[in-house]
Amino acid sequence: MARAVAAGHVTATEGVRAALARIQQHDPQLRAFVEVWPERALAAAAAIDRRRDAGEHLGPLAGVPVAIKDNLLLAGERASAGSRMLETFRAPYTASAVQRLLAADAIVIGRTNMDEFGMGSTTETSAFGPTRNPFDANLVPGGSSGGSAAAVAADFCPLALGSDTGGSVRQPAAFCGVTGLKPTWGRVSRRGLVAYASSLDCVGAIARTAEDLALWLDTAAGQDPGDATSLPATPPVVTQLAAANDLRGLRIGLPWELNGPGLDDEVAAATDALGAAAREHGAELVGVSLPTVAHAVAAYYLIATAEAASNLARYDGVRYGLRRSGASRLEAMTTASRSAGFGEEVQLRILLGTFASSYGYEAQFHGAAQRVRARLAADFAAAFAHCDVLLSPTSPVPPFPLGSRRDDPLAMWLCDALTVPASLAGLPALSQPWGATADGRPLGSTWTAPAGREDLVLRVAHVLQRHSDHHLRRPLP
Amino acid sequence: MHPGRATPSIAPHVPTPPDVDRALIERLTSLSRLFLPAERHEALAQRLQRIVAAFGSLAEVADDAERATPAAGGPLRADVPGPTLSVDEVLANAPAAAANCFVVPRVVDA
Amino acid sequence: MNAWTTVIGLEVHVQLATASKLFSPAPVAALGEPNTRVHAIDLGLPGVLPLPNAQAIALAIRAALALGAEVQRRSVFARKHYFYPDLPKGYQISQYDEPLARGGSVSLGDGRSCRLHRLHVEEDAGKLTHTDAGTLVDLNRAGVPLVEIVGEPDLRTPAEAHAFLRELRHVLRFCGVSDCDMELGSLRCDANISVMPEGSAQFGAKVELKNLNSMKMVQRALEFEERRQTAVLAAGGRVATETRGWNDELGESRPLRSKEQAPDYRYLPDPDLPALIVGDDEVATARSALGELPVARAARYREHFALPAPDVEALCAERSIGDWFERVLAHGSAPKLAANWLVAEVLPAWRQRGGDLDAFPIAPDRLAELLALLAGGAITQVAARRVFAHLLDHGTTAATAMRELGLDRITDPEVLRPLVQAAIAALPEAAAAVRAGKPKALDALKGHVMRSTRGRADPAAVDALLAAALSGG
Repeated sequence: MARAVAAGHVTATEGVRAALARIQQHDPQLRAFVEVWPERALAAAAAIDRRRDAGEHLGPLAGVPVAIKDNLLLAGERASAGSRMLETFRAPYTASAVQRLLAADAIVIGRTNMDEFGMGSTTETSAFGPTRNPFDANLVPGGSSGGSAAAVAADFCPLALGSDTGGSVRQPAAFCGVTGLKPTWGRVSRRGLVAYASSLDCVGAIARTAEDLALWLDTAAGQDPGDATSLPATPPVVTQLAAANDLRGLRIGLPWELNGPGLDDEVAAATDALGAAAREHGAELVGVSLPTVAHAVAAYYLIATAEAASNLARYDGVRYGLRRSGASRLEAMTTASRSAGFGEEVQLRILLGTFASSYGYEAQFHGAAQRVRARLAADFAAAFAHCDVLLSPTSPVPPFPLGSRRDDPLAMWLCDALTVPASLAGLPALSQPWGATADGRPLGSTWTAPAGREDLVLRVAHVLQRHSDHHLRRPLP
Repeated sequence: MHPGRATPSIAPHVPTPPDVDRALIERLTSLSRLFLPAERHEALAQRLQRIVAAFGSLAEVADDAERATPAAGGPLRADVPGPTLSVDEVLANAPAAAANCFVVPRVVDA
Repeated sequence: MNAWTTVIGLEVHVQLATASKLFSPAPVAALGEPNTRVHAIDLGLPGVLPLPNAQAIALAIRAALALGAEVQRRSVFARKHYFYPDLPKGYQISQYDEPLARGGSVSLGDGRSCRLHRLHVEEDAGKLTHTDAGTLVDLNRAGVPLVEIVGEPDLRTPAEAHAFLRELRHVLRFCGVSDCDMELGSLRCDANISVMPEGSAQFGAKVELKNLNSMKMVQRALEFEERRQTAVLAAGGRVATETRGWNDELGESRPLRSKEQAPDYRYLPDPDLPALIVGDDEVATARSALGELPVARAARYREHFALPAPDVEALCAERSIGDWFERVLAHGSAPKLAANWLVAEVLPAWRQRGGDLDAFPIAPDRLAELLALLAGGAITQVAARRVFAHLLDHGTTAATAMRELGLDRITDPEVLRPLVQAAIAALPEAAAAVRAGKPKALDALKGHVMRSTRGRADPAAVDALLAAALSGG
């Protein structure tokens, strides 16, 4: 798209018009977007076209319509993080990840639906109603970046930003048959990302191809003076991909704990098939072990909820956000505002996190979880002594119908089992679509690499996408 | 292909009876500034129960391990004053404001 | 006779003298309309991240070194949670189980000292103003950098608590960590006090005192509380563990809230901030910025320059005074003369004018020049004071000022002799008294000559001429 705009084959305005028309046609059913910004997008497109006509240099994402998740701030626009609490909140500054998009001449077209504050795996906890899976409107799109995954799957835009705390980019990408990248923790600045669990939150992206994700990562990565935990830049990846034709010399580790019997048969078969395809292109498969993975979900929930309870303490109805007025006492005002502004799942997780970090429990619960985390990171390091990347299914189950798991926290919990280990260890991971269930539901598998090695997961997915068409399945006409 | 597939790895851990009583729920809702209607106490109790149960498994694997802690970072910010928000920007999203300040119900220290 | 022992420990918050806030680039300024010193970070907006201020950390390390505390190679910022409208994020970023520094002490004089428990860095909260219409929240102060210094319960009297604060303030001001102004809130103090039977191994029930807005108030509040608790105990009662607020107008403390239930702050390492690693370089830099501490400087002035105690105290009150003094010495002035002039002339004039000593209208080398003229007998003490006053207003050199004021010293006998004769004529009784063998009367005659020359006459020359004129009789 960017190349087409730069070369003059298509104008940015034409591209944006087409995207807006497609959104208008299909999004009333899908509800991938919480809000579309047509005027902003068309004005930005016109500016790009003028600059191209004037012979100016254009950025690497010139004219590309991009959707941003509702938890990334864009100055002057609303950002609600899927919550009633922030329904009318207007951002006074722009997230660094969005600034990088704009600096690369991408065109931000709207904000996408999400589970409230990222807390969910189906986009059903959004205060603005669920998003539907473009492959089947009865299915969930996954979550929490379900709106972004659905927007790319529906061809509303070739790229959408998401965020991934415990799998929130990878799992919806798998459910919607698109490619999703969760970078190394700290690779992309979190400044302007509404926090869920800071030590796990990563800005990620969803696109049709790994190549487009590489293009995005090269513009997005790098140290940001606005985020003290951001990492220094690494060499660009896109240029490396051009020469990547096969996987010779690549050792792929299959952690048996993530490829175990809790898996749906079709899911396991799809990942096996992906492994086999990689072997055909020259990769070697080896079995590895991550013994601490069995405890990852528990550790993840303790850490994520404790940090969430902390991060969400700022929503007190004083400076911004929903306030229930009428209460004459301060404490009652704050309690009423938070109880009205947060949905049930968010409230439950805040209470759990308060428990996990409260006096007398912190050492046992949150502290123990942090020790598990340290041990898990050591497991990954040991596994990477034997291989370059790891392969596992993205979700233990295929996309499921809306409402089918809402009241089953255990099932929701298991949804995250395969994605949270990389989150706890802060590793880069990419989910690519591969195969489908007998009834046509998309399936995805995830590549995980050592910290800082996004190039590895992008390369392996890119090579496989060059020689296949799993990622090109388009659900909508 | 996978030698160890026989061992269940993502199955839930056996829950142990939690000590989730009314006092604990009141303490948590008070600390969190949330009002939890009685009909939702059960949902919280169930989830707490899972956390408590999960803790048992965490404690046994991680008794001796170091805690993961924040890593060392890059250079710190130089002490140079920068731009601030205007008062209008500060108060732009405020539910209530007066005299260039946020307004909340009167706080009485007692 | 006193059967009770008082135990006091102080917790002091000191505002670090930085230009910007601890975690945001918003300027730190004492004055300002409400909410005009607020960055998105201070507002706790969604998505903001704290950006630690290098100078705040450097000053905190300097404070730790000045107090003899042990700087920790690794410390961790932690979130301290509680809901209050002056706390924008619902938590304060502070340090908990891994503080910046541990240990250290503060001298109380007379060879006694109070140990310090720890020193950590944290951000300040905003300001609340209570009105009938509700409580107003101003976040100008939110995020201002503080160090909290926690003293051990080593203090035994309210006077010792006062001495502790005085010395702490002196040291921290001296090394440029903070201006430590209690009235402006850049030094704040909470006091814990308990009373136990003399010789007891177990401390009594602890009362925390708040609203102590000056050093005098700290002492008064502690004296009141010591009396109150002793009276309760002497009557066989039990002192409640509680927080009490001091009301200085009424001269009494009142309970604020019961402390029976300790608050649960749910401390959590802040995942937005990397651990703070302090290397040898940073400690060395802080140590060199620290320079000579007041105790060492005072000893040097006493021993090397043989200055009297009041002069030493005045010169060591602030680092800039001693530095200025030593610049005068560097231009050749004798220590005692220079110290005299600083204490008697420079400091009063500076205090009257306020501001920075470095911006004082008379530079150290100009004062040294004036003192050289004085020491060399080219100008009298009286005239030198006039030159000093002239320099204050006009900022020229001492030599120029003397010429401008016509203050060159008159030694020429031909010029002075008529003036001596005039004095004898004007004061015949004094002249007669001298002739009658009462040399004390000489002073009146000499004073007359000095007045008539506006202090320019050389005293020795006048003495000689008077002696000659009156002895020949």
